[in-house]
Amino acid sequence: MALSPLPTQKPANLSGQAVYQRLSDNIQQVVKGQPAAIRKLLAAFASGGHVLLEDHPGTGKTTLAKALAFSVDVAFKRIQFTPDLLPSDILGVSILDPENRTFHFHEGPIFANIVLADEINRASPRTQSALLEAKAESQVSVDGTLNQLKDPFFVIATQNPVDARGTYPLPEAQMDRFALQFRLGYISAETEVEILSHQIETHPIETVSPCVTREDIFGLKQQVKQIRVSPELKRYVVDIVNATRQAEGVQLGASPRGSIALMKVAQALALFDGYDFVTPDHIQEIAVPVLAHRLVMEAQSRFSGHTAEQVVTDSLKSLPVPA
Amino acid sequence: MTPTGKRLGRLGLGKLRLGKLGAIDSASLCSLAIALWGYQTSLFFVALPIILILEARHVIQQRWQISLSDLKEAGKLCAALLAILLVIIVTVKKSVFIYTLLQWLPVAGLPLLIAQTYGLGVQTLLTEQFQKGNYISQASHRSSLRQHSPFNLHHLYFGVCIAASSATDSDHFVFYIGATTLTGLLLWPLRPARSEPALWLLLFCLSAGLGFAGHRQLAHFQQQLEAQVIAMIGNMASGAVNPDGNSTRMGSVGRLKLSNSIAFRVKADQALPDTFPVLLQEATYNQYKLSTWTAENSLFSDVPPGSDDGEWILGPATEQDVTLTISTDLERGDGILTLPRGTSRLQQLPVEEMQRNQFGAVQVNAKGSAAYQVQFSRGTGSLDARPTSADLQVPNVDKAAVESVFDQLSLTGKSEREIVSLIAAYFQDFQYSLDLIKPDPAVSAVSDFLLNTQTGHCEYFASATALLLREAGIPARYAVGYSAHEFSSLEGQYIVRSRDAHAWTLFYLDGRWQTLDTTPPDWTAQEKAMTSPLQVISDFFAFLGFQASYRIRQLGELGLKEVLMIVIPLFCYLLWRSVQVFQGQQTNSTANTNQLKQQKPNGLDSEFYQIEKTLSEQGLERLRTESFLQWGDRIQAALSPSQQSTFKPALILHYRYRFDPQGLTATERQQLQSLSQQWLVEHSKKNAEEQNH
Repeated sequence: MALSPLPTQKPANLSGQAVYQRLSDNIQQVVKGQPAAIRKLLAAFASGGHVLLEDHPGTGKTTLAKALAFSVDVAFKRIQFTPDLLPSDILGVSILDPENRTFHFHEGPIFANIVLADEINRASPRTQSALLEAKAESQVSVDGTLNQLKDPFFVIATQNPVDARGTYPLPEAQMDRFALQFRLGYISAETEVEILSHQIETHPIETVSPCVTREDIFGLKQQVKQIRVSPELKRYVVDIVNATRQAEGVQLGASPRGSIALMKVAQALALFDGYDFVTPDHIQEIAVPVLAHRLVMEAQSRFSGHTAEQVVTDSLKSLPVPA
Repeated sequence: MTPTGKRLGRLGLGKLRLGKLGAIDSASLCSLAIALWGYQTSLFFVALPIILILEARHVIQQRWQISLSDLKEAGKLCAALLAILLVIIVTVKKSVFIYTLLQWLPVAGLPLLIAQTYGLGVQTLLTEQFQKGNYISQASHRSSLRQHSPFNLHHLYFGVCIAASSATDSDHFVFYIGATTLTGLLLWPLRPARSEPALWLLLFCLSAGLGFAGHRQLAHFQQQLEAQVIAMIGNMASGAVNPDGNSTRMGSVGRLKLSNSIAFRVKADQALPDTFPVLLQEATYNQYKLSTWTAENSLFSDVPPGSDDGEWILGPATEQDVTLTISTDLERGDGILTLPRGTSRLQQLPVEEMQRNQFGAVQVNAKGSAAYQVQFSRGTGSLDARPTSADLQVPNVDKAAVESVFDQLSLTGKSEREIVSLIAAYFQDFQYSLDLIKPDPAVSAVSDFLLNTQTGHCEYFASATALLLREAGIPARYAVGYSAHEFSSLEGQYIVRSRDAHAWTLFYLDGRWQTLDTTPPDWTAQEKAMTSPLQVISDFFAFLGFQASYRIRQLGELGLKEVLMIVIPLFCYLLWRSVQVFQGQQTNSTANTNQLKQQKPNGLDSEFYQIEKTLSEQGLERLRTESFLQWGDRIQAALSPSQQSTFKPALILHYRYRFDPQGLTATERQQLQSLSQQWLVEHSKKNAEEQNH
């Protein structure tokens, strides 16, 4: 893009699309064969939403999170969720300083820019809910004092879909606060062979170096907000969400928060593709990962193998697309 | 074995053709099944148009997008057609309508067949619907494995056709061959991939042969069973009347128990006070031997039908004739009608033919319930055969007893009229009883009744009276039937129960047969005393059943014109309703566009829509749920390289024009216009080239 830099603009400021390209390329050096997943992850990151990865162990969830953190050059913390994890283990705790005889707040791992909440469904609901305020408002209240979290703040949570023993399923309120939920899925055999040969000597994560600055990320987020959405497409977003509420076999449809997330993530995707405006294709592309995890299916339709993904796909297939 | 062998040969021949055909498509299979159905049911005039409609799919290339609500409407139309068929068939056919209905079933399924043949997306809709339903929740796991065979209404229709062609009396053999061949054609493409065609055919023929043999055996077994059951029931049946002979219960031990169930109903058309109680006769007999009355040389002859439909003339009408309406089940009493004496005319009796014997028994061959009107003259005699010498015979075993009573009453030398009244008076001192008293084995039943017990039921009274009259030289016969004396205020007519069965005597005097009932009149009260108080309840339900059958019969009396008068408004209503639904959809859609107009979507005048229009005319139309980008990817192969190169930039400009709230600049707008024009020009060039080739 031909830039005509204004005198006040720093020359280092990259366009949003370039930031995306750099991040994507950098992460793909580490996480092979997952361009679609990286695109989704970055879309959520750029639109200020959080991500829930649901997949089997060893498919690269943690690597993906770490690769993003290392590429951006921001603080990264990982929390391994266990049944005995306490809210203070996440948020931090006030400790008495014996010399000054005052309480000193010791920041927990949540005070990082990118937080990986590994196996989030293993912690008790009480601990899980410690994340609610942080995710929605980027702040935590500890001992009555409000502590602002760092910006950017991005949570990547993972959960294992198979081993459900000793887990606490995430409540709807928690699920609704994730902008996206998606799976990584298994990669092709060729890519897997490639990974094997790459990892004989070193793990590629060790070689990743930051490629964009914190300012670039702020710029990216700012540019996402400037992507234009026509009233017709806003209506289309609302129609899709409404369709999930009226679908058969759905106990609880997607929330207005879901509509907002769908629009914002679509904006990010449009930016990535070099558009100044959202197209219907961007909305369609991301509707399932944004909406499906927000639906609560009726028990009967769940047992008959009817999934939330199907409901969202059906809604897309039943609504006429603005064209 | 020969038929099976023949079929093997036929299928062996068919194998070549099958091999060539490969997988025959389900719609053609449907056509074949309809042809079989048309042949079997002889409904060629219906089958041919259906086949034409189905096969026109090769000529009419257009297909319509079908929504779930459209499919539901088609289903409703099918149900309406079925209802209409049911009404027509019930009114026209009356009795065994279920087979006729089954035969016509493919007609009712026509809307769904058309929807399947000419609609787009019916299979996906149905498959989705069936996967959604929890009733096949277990099957849905497997359904992912069976994605390649989605639910197809043609298969359902195929089954309906086969079932419909099975419900006929015509050639079973043709049907079996046809059904087997069609099923073979249906299953041929579905056979396991690893199975050898020859082995598969052999196994199929084997199972078809086994099926045939099994079916024959089953039919044979059913016939046997039916014969057995009929024989068994025939032994037990007691309600039926035999016009040739009637063995009485005289001389038996025990207690007579007759059912309280309502046998038939009688209603007087004019309110004549002394019509009831009335004796309704079934048969009369002239010969008595060993407690059995028989009709000697009973000969049945045809009764000519009257001028009106359902009218039968039994004798000359008189002016004092009374008319009764008898509602009954024609099968009761083996088709012997229950008629008052002196019946001259029957009306509204829907039977094919009627016969009567010289003893006044009238037999019809019919099933089902009927309400026929009987015109009869009170007092005048009937047209029964004139008395013969048999009407004066007294059996030797009873001779002594009869003579002693004769002497006791000193009837010798009295006039015949005096004799009749004396005999009638004589029996007034006797006792009516339903208890059967142990008889003296040395004495006959009637002698015992006359001389010793003087107690018995109506059969004793009627038989003894007949023998006494004969002894006095008056010809006498024994008549059986019913006494109608119980008025039901619930039904507003007289009801006759099985227990009201009665026997009485006929004597010949003044050139006509007259009735003499010597049974003490309190017999009705005695029998009534035996009924349970709960009888009222079962009477009520019997009344409800009677009302229902009356309504159905009334419906059956309607002609085709009346049926059409009911059906046409119904059909008009349905039509009106579907038009309303359609209009409702239209107003809905206009409401939607109104809302959109308020939002004023940009760029609806984009020239890119012309490209879409041109391509959809070529059959490359965009689905409603498909964005332009997805559509472009899908139809890419159909475009020439130069078209592809202009398509994408034009599309992106169009997208900006439509979805970017800032819109296009004037130059960009012109660019969109020129790109679209360019594309259209190239397209028409390309088309012209293709036509030249």
